[in-house]
Amino acid sequence: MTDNAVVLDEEGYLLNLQDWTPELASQLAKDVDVELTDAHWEIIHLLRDFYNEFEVSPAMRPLVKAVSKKLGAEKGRSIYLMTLFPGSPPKLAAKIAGLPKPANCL
Amino acid sequence: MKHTLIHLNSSPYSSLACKEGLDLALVLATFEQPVDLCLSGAALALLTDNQEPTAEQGKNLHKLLAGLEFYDIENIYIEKNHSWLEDNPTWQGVQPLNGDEWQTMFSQYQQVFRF
Repeated sequence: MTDNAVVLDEEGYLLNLQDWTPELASQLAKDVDVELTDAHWEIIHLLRDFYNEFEVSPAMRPLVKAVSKKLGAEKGRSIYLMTLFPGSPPKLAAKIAGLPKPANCL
Repeated sequence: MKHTLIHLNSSPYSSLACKEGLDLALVLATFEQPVDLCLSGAALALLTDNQEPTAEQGKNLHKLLAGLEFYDIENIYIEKNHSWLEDNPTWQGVQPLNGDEWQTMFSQYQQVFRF
């Protein structure tokens, strides 16, 4: 369970983005049965940079494009992101990265 | 597949209209629907740099403009020779159209939404 002082919404996303820390990310990941590796952190930092730059959490297609542009075509693939963040990579990665749920994700 | 034009005509921060228009553009693009944007009137303020909206006004919508490329939204039109443009710094990602091109543009889409 995450620290009681940190408030999450009903889907588990941070309500106050300022509350995010790497330690909290590890805890949030553990809560959803994801063990963070360097490969996960690479995407988490990219996602946080994307949000800081554009103020939006990307859905799958823009996330894939952003990863491809920053980390290369080998990592800019849906299957790669699915192995790191199973189910819905944009939603799960945003949750761990302390960002809002992508508004345009079903 | 319908080609959609979203026409932003409202001030970016005086209501939610501009944000809703941009949100619709992102949703359509996410589902691989071709979508273009055009800006006129009060919405042109979206193009200026160094915007600092208050918490009540919401997100800095200007920042999103540079991220539209990740959604494959590449056509963002404005009307050339608009007097507002002569006095204000303008985001460079827009494509200025002359009066005739601007008028013709609207008939080239299957659907147009105005915000």
